[in-house]
Amino acid sequence: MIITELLGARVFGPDFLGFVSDVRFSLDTESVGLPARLYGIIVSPHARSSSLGFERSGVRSPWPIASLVRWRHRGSFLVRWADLERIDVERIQLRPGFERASPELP
Amino acid sequence: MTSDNHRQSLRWLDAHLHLLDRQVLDVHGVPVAVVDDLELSDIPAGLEIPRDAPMPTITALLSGPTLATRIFGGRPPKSRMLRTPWVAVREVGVVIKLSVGRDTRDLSWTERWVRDHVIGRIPGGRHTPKGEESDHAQSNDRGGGAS
Amino acid sequence: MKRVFGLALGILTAIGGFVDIGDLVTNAVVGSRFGLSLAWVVVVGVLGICVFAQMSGRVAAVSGRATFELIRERLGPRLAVMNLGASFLINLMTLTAEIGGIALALQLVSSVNYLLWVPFSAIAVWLIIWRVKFKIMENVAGLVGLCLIGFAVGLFLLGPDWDELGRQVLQKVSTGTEKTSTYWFYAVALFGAAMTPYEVFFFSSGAVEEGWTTKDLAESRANVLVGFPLGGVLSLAIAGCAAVVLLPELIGVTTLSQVMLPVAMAGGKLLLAFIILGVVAATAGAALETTLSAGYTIAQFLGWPWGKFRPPAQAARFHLLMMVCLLIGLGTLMTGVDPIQVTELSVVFSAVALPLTYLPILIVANDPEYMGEHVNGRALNGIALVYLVIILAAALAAIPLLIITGAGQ
Repeated sequence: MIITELLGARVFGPDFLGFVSDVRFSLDTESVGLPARLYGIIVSPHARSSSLGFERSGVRSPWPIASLVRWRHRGSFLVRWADLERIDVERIQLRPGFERASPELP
Repeated sequence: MTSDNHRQSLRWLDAHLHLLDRQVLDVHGVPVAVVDDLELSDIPAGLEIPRDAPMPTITALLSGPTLATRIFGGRPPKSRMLRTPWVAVREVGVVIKLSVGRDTRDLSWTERWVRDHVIGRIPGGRHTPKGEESDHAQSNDRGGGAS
Repeated sequence: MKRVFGLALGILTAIGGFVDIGDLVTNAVVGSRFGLSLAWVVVVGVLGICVFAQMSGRVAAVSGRATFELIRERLGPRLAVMNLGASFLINLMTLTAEIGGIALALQLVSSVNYLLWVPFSAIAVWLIIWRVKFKIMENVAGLVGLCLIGFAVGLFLLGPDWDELGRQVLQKVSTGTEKTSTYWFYAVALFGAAMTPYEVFFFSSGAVEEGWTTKDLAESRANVLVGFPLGGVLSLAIAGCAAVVLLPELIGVTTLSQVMLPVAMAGGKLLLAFIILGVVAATAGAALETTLSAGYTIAQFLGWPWGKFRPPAQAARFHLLMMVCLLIGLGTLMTGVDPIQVTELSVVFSAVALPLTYLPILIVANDPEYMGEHVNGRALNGIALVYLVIILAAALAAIPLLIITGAGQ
């Protein structure tokens, strides 16, 4: 599978939740081959893609643009890999009782 | 899995923010391609994912003719994309640096073709511009490379 | 001496941006029709390009990334492609005009027909890009282009009524024969000429060509603070000369020789020769700047190896692209198109395309991932945001004004 097949897909729990605005990987800098594992997906209720990332990075400047982007992606949350139940074309189903985590980059 | 957050050696990369559309440089710092897509391992599509399924990993960087598809939509078939295996990646920062040289891959046959058939045939094409001195000892890190 | 040469990048960028063939004529047109009442636009434009170039030069020095690479990385593919299309077309139009400008200037000093100078100019520009080292190119073109200071000398020699000029600077619309919409059209055109995106593409790529790092931030700042205000002074001098000589007689400006008329009157043949040398160097500098910018934008967007610091064989597609652009420009000019009209149009389109170029730089200049500790300070962000508003206003007003005024008739 390639990542653009995941990006922009609709995400469903019991109801429609939003779109996959980004995908998060954890890069293991100590292991051989620098494995980059799919840690989770970022779900944004209102927007299909998020390439500026102000809602995640904590950067507040320049403030009008950062505020605009944060507003556009309000309510975004992170869902970990384990909570993904099913991936179809343009559609991702989450497990019942999935956990919403903060999308902020640690 | 929550303990992952506390491991110092883990870095977090978001596809749009850190990987897609980034420049890829070969081991000499020469630009090779732009990351247009990422190839992921084993995701069972259309089936229920087992609870203990391991996290998919990035297996390759993909670069291809996406200019038209970005304007009009869709994506080129995977066979038309140039594939750089993830194991060739040495460092991920503002640019993505590889551990292999450009010419060892098929990544830039157009560059090689233009070089061999057009530019190389014009006098002076293979020399650095007149007056070049050693202040360009680190020149290979520029023109697409980070300092 | 080395310190003077260290400022050559900024000076060349400014000269190629502010007093290329189109701006030479536009400044004279403005002076002949509005006096110095649009001088405030030049000041606003100079400050704006200083802010813009300072940010992009700093970003290039700290992160090693040139402007169009950042546009691709931060703007997202669709907007970046739109920007690429617009910027490339503008570059192509402008480089065509500049090659024509070199030919026009050479025609003035010789009795050789303009159309014969056009291929000569195109080939000369190509040869310089092909073989001459970036530093030598910028030093020669930038510093010889400073001969245009002859316009300022000419202005003094004309012994103008300084009170009258001062009065024009402070008033809004001058003669009753000009409509307000035309005034604002030329305001947008002058602003677009000062803040043309290709100046920033060239300056930031030039920073990478020169290998600037965090140690060179002071040099980057000096280049900006010397180069662009100098360009502004030259613009104002040209407008001033036209205001003093041509405005009272209501002489219109359509040709390069009319631009030179005030100087010829003031200082005779010697000053005129000095000026023409400056015009040739400035237009050649602008041709080099726009051709290289055309190469930089496409190569950076598509991820090709680029740069004059590489032998052409190692940046093959980059050089091939520039050769093709020069051929297109040459072909277009040989059909008899007026280079001056081409560039006046491209300046207006630059104003429209500017926001998409400005925004990524503003964002990246604030991004700690690229900039580390060298992110924008609050004061700079304040000014930069004010300019974002001005730039958006100019971009929205440009096309309507172009249509309403029929390109300033």
